[in-house]
Amino acid sequence: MSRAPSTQSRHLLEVKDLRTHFFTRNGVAKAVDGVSFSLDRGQTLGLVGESGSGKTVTLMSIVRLIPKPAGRIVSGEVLLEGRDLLKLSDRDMREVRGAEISVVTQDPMTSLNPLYTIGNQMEEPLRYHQHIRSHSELRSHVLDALKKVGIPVPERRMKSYPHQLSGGQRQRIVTAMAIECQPSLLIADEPTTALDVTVQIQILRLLREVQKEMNLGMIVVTHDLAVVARVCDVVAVMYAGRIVEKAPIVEMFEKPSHPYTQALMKAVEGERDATGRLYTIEGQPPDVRRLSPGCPFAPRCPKVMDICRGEYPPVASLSSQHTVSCWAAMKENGIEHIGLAPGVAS
Amino acid sequence: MAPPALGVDRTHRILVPAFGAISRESWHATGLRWDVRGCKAPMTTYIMSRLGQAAITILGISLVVFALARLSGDASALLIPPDATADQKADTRTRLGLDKPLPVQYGIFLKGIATGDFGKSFRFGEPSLKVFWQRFPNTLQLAAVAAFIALSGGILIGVLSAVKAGGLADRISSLIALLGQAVPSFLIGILMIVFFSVELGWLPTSGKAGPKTYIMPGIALAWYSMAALTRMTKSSMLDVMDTDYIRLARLKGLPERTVIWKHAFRNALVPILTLFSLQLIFFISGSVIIENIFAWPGIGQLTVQAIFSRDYPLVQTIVFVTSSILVLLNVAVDLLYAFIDPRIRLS
Repeated sequence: MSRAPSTQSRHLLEVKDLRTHFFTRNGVAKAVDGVSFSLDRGQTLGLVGESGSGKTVTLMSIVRLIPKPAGRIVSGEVLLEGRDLLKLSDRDMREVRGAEISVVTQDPMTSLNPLYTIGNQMEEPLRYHQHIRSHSELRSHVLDALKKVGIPVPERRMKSYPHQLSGGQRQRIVTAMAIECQPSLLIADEPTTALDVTVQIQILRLLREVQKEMNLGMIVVTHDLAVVARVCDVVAVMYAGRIVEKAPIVEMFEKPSHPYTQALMKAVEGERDATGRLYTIEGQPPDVRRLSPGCPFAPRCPKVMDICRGEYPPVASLSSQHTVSCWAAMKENGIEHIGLAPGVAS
Repeated sequence: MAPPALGVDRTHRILVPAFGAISRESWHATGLRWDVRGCKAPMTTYIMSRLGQAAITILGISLVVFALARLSGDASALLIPPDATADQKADTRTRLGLDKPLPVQYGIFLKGIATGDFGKSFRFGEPSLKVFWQRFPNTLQLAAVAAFIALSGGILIGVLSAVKAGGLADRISSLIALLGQAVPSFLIGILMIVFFSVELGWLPTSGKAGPKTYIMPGIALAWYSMAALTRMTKSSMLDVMDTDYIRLARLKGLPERTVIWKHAFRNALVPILTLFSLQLIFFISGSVIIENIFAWPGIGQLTVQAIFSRDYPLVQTIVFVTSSILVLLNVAVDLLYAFIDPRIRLS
C-alpha cells in the first residue's frame, strides 16, 4: 500500500496557504482563506469552529470535492506524502479518494444508499481501488472490515439494507467503508453530530481505536469541544476561513489564547453571567463575502484594540507548537509585531 | 404465539431492525407485525391485494362501458333502411337483444365477458373480440415504439441535463419540455408529414409497411410523454444528486458514471416510473388520434369507425379489453416499484 518511502521529516499531510473561494452573484465568499497545517501519521487534528467558519470547505478542498462551478480552490498546496493533490488529474484524484484519503460523513442516516445492501456498498471501494473481482475475496474483506468496527453478526448485516439498521450501526458501517482500503488519512466530518449522546461516545472510541490500530492520520471536524477533548492530539480553531489558534490539546484547554477560543471554552463550561444566563458570544459570525482587512472577530471581541480593525494579525508562536493570530494575545505574551515566522508550521 | 421478527438472539430476545435486541414483552407491546426474514409472505399478500383491487376496477369499467354505449343512441336505427316498418324495426331490436331490459342486457354482457364471448360486431359480422385481436397488435407495436422513444429519450436527456445543469443538454431538454407541452401531438404529426414526407420525401406519409412507417407516428405518439418524462427525470435526478449518499459515493472515489447511473439514477427512478405508468394509458388512448392521422390500422382507427357506426359490441369490446389491459399494466408497475426499492418490498 505504501507509496514512496516517507522520510521521517516529511509529514503525512501538509496544507499550505489553502484558499477556496466561492464566486456567487453577491460577491466572492472567501470560505477558506489561507489555511495551513500539517499532520503526521498516528496524529489526530481537531478542526473546530462555528457553522460557516470554513471547516467543512477545508476538508472538501483536501479531497477536491468543492461544488462547481461556484467554488474554486484559488491557491495553495495540499501535499499528501509530498504529492500535491491539487495538481493531480481528476482521474488520479479519484484514485486517492476512498483509497488513501477516506471520509466518515456527517449523517449516517442519509449517507448510505437506501437501494443497495450494506455488502454491495462496501464492496465498491474494493472493486474500484483494489481491483478485487472474486466474490469470495470481496466478501471476506468486507466481513473483516465489519468485524473491525464491531458490527455483530456481520454475515447477516452484509445482506441488510440501510433502513434496517440503527444510526450508530450505520456510522460504524460508514467507518468500516472508510478504512477497508487501508487509507493513510481518515477524515471525519462531524462524525457524531447526528447521533444520540450514548452512541456518540461509542463512535468516538471506535474512531480512536481504528486510528491507533492502523496508525492513521486523522482529521476530525466538529463544533463540539467535548469531541475534540476525547480524540484529538492537536486542535486548530477556525474563524471566518482561517485558523486563528492551533495548539496541542492539553495546552489549548489550559491556556486558550485567542479571545474566540476563550469564548468557546467559556460557552462549553456552561459559565453563567450575573443574571444566570448561559454564556454566549455576542453577535453573529461574519459574512465571508464582506470581510474587512482587519481581524474578522474584532466586532465581537472583548479585547478589541484599534489595530485589530485595520490589520489582520500575523501568526505568532506562543510555544513550539502553539500558534495564535491575535494582536491582544501577542501583547499579553509580550511578542513584538516584527520578527515573526510566516506560515503556521507546527 | 410470537409474531415473526427479524430474528431471535441467544437469550431469546427479539432482534428488531433499527432498535437492536428487545425482550419478548416489549416486542408484543409494540404491536408490530414485521417479518423481514420471511419477506416473501407480505409480498404475496401485496400482490393478491393489488390483483383484488384490479378486479374491482375492471368490474367498474364494464358497467361504465355498457352504460356509455347505450347512451350513444339506438344502434338498430343505423342497421335498417329509413323506411322500414315498425315490425322490421322491432325484429332487428329483438335480434340484437336490445328489446330486453337494461339490467338483463348488462347481465348478458357480463356473462359474455366471463365466457370470452363479446358478441358479434354489427358491422363486420364477426365476433368482435376477433376483430379486436386482429387490429390490437398493430396498436401495441406502435405504442411500444412510442414508449421506447419517450422513455429512453426522456431519461437520457433528463439525466444529462441534471448532471450538466446549464449545458447544452440542459437547454435542449428545456426546449423539448416546452414544445412537448405546448404543441399538441396531432399538430406535430401533421407537421412531420408535411416536412419529412411531402417536402423531403424521406418517409412515407401513412400506413403500416416496414420499419420506416413507424418513425413518424412513433414520435408523434411519444411527443407529449417524452417532454413530461424529461422534466420529471431532470427534477428527480437533481433532488437525488444533492443527497448525502451521492456525496459519499463520490468520497469513495467511484467513477462519475457509477455515481450517476448506479447510485443516483435508480433512486430517481420511482417518480419517473410512476409518471410513465400514467403515460401508458396515453400511448393507447393517444392512438385514437395518431392512428387516424397516419392511417395506422390499429384499434385507435377501429374505435372511431365503430363509434360512428354505433357498433355496440365492438365499442364495448375495444374499450373494455384495452382498459383491462391498462389496469393490469398498472399492477405490474406497482410490483416493479417493490423490485426497485427494498423499502417498499420489505414494509
